[in-house]
Amino acid sequence: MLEAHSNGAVGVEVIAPGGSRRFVLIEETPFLIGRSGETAKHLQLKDPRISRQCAAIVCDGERYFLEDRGQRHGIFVNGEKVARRELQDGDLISFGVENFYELVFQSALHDTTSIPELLSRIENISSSDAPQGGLQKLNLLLEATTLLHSRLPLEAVLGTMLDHAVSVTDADRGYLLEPRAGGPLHVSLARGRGGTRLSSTESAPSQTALQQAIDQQKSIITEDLAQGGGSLQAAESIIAQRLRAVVVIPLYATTRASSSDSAVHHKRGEFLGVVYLDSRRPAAFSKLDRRILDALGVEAASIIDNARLVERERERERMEQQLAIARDIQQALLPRGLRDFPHAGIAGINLPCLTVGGDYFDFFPLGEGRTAFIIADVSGKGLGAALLTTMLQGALSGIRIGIEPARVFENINYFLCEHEELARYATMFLGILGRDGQFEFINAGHPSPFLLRRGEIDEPFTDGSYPVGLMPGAEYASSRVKLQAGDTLVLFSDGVTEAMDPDDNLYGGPRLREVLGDLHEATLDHVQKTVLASIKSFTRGAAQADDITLLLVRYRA
Amino acid sequence: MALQMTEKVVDGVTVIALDGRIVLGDETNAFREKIKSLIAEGRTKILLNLDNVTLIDSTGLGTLVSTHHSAAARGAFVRLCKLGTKFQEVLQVTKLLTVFDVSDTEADGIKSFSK
Repeated sequence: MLEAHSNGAVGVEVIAPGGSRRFVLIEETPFLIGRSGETAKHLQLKDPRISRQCAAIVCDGERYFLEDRGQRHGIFVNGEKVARRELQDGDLISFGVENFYELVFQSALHDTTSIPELLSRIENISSSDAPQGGLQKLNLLLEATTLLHSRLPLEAVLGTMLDHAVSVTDADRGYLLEPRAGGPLHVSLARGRGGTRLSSTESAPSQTALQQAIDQQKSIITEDLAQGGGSLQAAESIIAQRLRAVVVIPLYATTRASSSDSAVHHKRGEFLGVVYLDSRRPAAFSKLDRRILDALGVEAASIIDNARLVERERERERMEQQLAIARDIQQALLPRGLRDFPHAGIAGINLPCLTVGGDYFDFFPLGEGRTAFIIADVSGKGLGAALLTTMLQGALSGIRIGIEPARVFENINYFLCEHEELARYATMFLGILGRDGQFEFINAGHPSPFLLRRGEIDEPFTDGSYPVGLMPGAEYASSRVKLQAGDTLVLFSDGVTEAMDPDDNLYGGPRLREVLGDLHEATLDHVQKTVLASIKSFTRGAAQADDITLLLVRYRA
Repeated sequence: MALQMTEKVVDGVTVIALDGRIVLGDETNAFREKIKSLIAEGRTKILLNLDNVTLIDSTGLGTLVSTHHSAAARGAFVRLCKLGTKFQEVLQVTKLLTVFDVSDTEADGIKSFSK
């Protein structure tokens, strides 16, 4: 039976393989997830690698559960394979398939939760086990938690957290230390009372006390040297600083195993760092309840953990912006749509399978009524290949200023072979069409374009040499043929012929021939649309695995 | 990773049977490392049996060529046998068929080293 939910917003954030995100509200349960149709009416992930009926999120009133409903590769929550699992806010749901959609379950949506509501909620959780005297101080800390929801700089959030820790414990100084990859702890923040920044000339935290807390994996309080352990008494830095009291709280990421009631169990996770507090007043921390330190540790760890998530998310956003810029530049470098030259019509389209791609095409007029056109396919795909397409385009533009095309090919080959650490090469086809139908071409390992001539289809442009960037010293030469009025050339990248359906069958050259069979008199625009539609219907929604480029040239005489 | 490499030595020729996909990522990296380590061991006659290769993408092709080049630079030979139709076609289109020494059968491939 379906049940409508009006209490609070719950949903999943859908992260696509390319990194784009969208949010889907869970408005009724069971919330059905899968490939298609009735069995996945709430969230369809159109990809052949998952089952038609895949998983469902169900609700028993308060709690939400994820159920495997037949995903062939299994259903995973935070990397753990599950048949049925209660979902917590922030849980990551995946489907056992690489480079695939992931879902983040969200039960406490930030924009629908007011700060007072959040505060009171956390306060309720804490009140059952926090001592009376600690409650108010603990509340100070809770404020810091809410800061996460604002767009403050990360350092300010962590700084506020540390200030609260200093305030809660009535310490003189507070340090946040985080582990460097494979190295020792380093001080990421240092604050004095009232939020003052400590200068770098301040003496560093006691390494001995830090090490002791890390070794014991729990917070330690050392009242003064006389009461400390043997190793602490010997520690020179403590003596040098004449410190009287130190608190060290190691921080661990926590996974809430069960939050159905107030008995929240924290499983110890990744070591995040240490909050270090000290005071010159004797016995400054003697009244501190250990439970306050524990609560401090949990809250601080959760803030750092969340802050890192926020930081990663911002980094991802930055990367996405950069990619969007790269895409805009790459598309802007392509000639636009359909173009008429006096003796020829040209139409081209480029559909990268990722944001940017390793295919490109270009065309431009040369002197004496000649028109040049190019299709190129750099090995690999994505940003790496895309960077090289712009290089190719720049180099090939040399043809415009009269450089012999074959020399340009040889120069590109030289350049790519010289930089062999690029480990990239490209197949290219260049054509130059004169007003009289003289057609000069250079083929560098590219599939021969199809020639459509009065209903016949041929692949006559196979003469040529290696792809550029594979064979040092390779030579390139132009071949010449004569085109007839009405001839249509179909240039394509292998993303067309190697487009795959959900069962990994290839679209293939024969199918392309068949589609082009009766299109020799159709407009170029129509030819383009027909081929793309044919690929689309063949692949039946399977993810595009390679860049697709199609360039059509018709000689009119 | 979707590429298995099985190694045997016949008449002084190291035969690597490749099974799976030679594609961008772990597969091409593992393949490159494998050949590199064989050459470092001093093997100079290496025959790749491609009978069970289901897919070679553009990066895989580039890796095969660069492996061939770096072997030659160290006085070693990398040859191919039992190419599938599809791969044969790719080598044809890219003119790289002339670069590799290709045999129809493994036995012919092994013999080619003693000529």
